[in-house]
Amino acid sequence: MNCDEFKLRIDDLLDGRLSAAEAREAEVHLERCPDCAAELAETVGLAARIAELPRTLEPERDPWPGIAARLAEDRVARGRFGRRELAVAASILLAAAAVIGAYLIGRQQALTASAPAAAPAAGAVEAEALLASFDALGVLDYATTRQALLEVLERRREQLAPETFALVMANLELIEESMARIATALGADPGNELLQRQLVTAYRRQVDLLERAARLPSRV
Amino acid sequence: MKRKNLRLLALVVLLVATATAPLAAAQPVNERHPVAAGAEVSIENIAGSLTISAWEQPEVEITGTLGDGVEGIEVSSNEEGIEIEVKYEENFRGRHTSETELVIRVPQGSPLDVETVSCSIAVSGVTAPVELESVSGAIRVADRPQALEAETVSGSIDVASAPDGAELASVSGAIRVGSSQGRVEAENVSGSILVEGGTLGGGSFETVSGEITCKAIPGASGSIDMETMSGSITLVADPGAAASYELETFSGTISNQFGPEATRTSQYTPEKELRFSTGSGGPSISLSSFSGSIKLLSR
Repeated sequence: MNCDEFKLRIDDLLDGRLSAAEAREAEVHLERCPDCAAELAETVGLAARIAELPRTLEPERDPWPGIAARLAEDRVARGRFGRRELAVAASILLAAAAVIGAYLIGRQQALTASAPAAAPAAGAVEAEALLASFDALGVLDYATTRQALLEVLERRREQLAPETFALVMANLELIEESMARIATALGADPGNELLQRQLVTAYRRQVDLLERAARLPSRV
Repeated sequence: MKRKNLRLLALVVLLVATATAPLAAAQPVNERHPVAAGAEVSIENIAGSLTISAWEQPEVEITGTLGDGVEGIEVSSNEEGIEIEVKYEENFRGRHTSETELVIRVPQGSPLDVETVSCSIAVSGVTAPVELESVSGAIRVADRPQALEAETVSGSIDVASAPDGAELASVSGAIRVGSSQGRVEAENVSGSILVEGGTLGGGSFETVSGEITCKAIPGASGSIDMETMSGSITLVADPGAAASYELETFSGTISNQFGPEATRTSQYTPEKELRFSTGSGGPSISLSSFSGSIKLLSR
């Protein structure tokens, strides 16, 4: 087995999908090739970090109390300060906070992995960079839309069956978890087109779900 | 003796009350209303079941029973269409011992628009465009209408034969298409999407965590896109049919029974992709996931 063949089989090796003979060939190659040994170690480290991410980003079991509380705070703030500016700022922060947090975690991990001695990135600059990329992807409208739809959904909560509301919230949570995972990966690889597409798709799915939930027919 | 008679009387009253309660709750319905040719039929009901079929008469026939808490059926019509709404008592607090179960026959060529909450919807024989929406009720479409849109939250969607341009969406309900003809679009969040057969002139299938399985034969052209975050994608295709494939996943796996193996696109991330063609021309098929597995199986 040469280096190219080994690199192509790293995932299969880690997933235990190599035959006994192939695994032995890989082992022999590793013993005499420090470059491939280093790449294997790097891949193992990356896989371990990815495996850890969902646990570090796991939201509350029921995210609604937190969302409702933030909505309430937002309403109070609007009364005290400029309504339009605060609404825009709050909606962007509300929508982007979790994703930016995930992005920063991924970015920090990538920096740590590639240059352990490097100084930590400035969070505000990274957040601005990510927001700029959101703007380029056309998702800042999403933040405003999402906020408005969450408010409509909150007002309609009593009109929906509790199990329907719970199901909608559970699926919104599922989408947000996916968004956080994608954002973490995007933090480590900001130019990745697949991840950018997936993140935009996740945003769209969330708005679609909120729109549908906001216009669901009422129960008796 | 008096005490014994009183106990007997109480028992009789109880038995009579128990026996008559369901009869009083379930109100039979049997009515007909004329419908202008081509006029839309709109139906709204909250709970129970709706069985809708087409016939050749220029009228709507409503039969079945109305359940607890139902005031009656309100029907209004004009040249553009007829609206049928099951009206519920606003403050009904009684026990639901019977559901509203309606069998409705509509003119075969009338477009159909049905909205329910927990009421199931079964449609057969309608050839005009059909639009169905339910929250938790199951939707079943037995024949191929001219156009179809179906949406649920948790109810399943089962379409025997999807027309070109069919749009199906759910949140957690399973979506199944028995046979497709033309383009089909389906979206789900945690529920699955299954296209069992037919020919796909194009398609878009998206989930967040639900499985996507497609066994339909891709048409001669067009594009078929399947995308999921953490669900799996399985496409069963003919290795001999011309098509261009593009498979990519960030951290999932890609397995391919009839083409080359996927390769990693970066030494720093687990991302993999696989692009290849069988023959020349044919449809463009794109399968994409974030962490879900992608399988391309040989038919």
